Amino acid sequence: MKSFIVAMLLLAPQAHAQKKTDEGAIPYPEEEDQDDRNRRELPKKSEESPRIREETQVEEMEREQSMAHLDDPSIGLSLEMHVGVMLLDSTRGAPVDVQAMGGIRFTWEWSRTLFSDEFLREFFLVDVTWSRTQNTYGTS
Amino acid sequence: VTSITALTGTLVTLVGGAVVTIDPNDPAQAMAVTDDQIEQTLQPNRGGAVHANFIDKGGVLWPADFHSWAMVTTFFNFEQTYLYYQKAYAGAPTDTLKGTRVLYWADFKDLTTGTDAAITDNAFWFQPIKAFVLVPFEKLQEIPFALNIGVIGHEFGHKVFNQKVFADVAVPPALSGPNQWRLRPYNLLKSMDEGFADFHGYGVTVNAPGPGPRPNFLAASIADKPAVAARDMSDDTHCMTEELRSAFENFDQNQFQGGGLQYKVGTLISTALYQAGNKTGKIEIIQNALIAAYDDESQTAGFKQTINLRLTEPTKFTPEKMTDIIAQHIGDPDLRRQVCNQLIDRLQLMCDDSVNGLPCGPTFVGQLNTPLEHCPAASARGTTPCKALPPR
Repeated sequence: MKSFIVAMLLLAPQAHAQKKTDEGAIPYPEEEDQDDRNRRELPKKSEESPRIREETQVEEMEREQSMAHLDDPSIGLSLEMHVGVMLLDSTRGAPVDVQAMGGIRFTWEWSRTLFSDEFLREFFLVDVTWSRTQNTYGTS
Repeated sequence: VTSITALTGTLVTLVGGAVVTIDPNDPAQAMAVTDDQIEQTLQPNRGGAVHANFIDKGGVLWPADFHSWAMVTTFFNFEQTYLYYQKAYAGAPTDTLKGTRVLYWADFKDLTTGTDAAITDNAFWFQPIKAFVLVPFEKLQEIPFALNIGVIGHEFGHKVFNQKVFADVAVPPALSGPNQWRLRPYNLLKSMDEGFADFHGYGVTVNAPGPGPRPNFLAASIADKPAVAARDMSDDTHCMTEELRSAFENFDQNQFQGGGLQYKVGTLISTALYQAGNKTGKIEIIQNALIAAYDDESQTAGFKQTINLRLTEPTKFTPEKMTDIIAQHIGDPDLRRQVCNQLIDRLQLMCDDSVNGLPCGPTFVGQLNTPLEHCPAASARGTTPCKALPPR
């Protein structure tokens, strides 16, 4: 027993000396290399990877329902006025007959009302345009 | 008609987008000598085809827009006019009247007038380029000139006159150049051209289907009533006045034409011919005689021959000489007398007056030594409302 204690005592300074080397001063960040730092900051234990919950049938139905009418609730009616020039094919043999023109335009994207599918909603329209110019000359 | 949409035909072809500019500062125009050069320099842009639009309704083609209506009517007017002149030529060939360009809605500028604005509301025969020019209808709110068959008949009369009397040269020597006539001879040529054209224009309205005889055919186009009345050949009161006679004899061409006096004297001529024709019911004989008198190589020399003969002594081409040439080409003695009487009164010709004492016909039957040697002996002053003016 006595010899065992001595042996322990003999070992103790060694062990102490050993610990001293492990607990050396933490190097300044610039002296620390990237690997050391990463290693030091690693959590002790990785968190468990998240798992996506299975979608319920109701959720799936709700997701697949088109929200296009909510995103763009317009019913697609518009009324426009336009003015400009018309380059008429010239009866009198000039290159073109340039005439002032004006008119109104009514459009209705009627498929917005009938369809919920985003593609179909924007596909069909009715366009009624009325433009007027005149090519009478001289006698008014 | 060879193309109903392009309005081309053997008689006339309508041309769109043409530009004609008379530019006194254009050296090319000043240098132009030949007819081709004159035409090319005056009209660098000859224009192109027109495109009439039609609507087919029950097999009938209806012009579909304003210009189509106007152009088709114009084309019709020229065709009807040609039919009249065929009759007036009395069997003589009329092929030379064919193949004429009609510049429809043309841009025509005359920079010698001090303005570079294109002229509007007119229709005229322009001899330097040998084409009819129909300028845009703008201010006049009645029938545009091009659509007025009497006006087209009148303008065609200028073509006929130039072709027959002046051999169809671009610039007749009597009207321009070193031998240009001045004062009364020049004014007379211009007045004859206008008066005869009006007389033929009336003839076209008689001959053509449509509104019928119109001795005042301008009334359909011009709202200005006095201006129309001044050209109405059915008005028996058109007479030479002292002022007009003075202007006729003493005005140079710019003064005379500037005042439009060639139309006033021209109306005296057209009224005389119309009244004589109406009184006798033989107006067609006068129409034929007039055309025959334009160019006559035979012994009964026409205007062309007489003008060429008197090119350097124009004072011998007098209103009396003009009357005599017309009378010479009228076979019917009664009609000839009526024409002479009308012209004697309206133009105040030299006969049967206190100054020269000459009769309004040969001195006696068979002797031809008066200015009006071919007027019948029975010709006399005072058969019209025109009173004799005091001697100059």
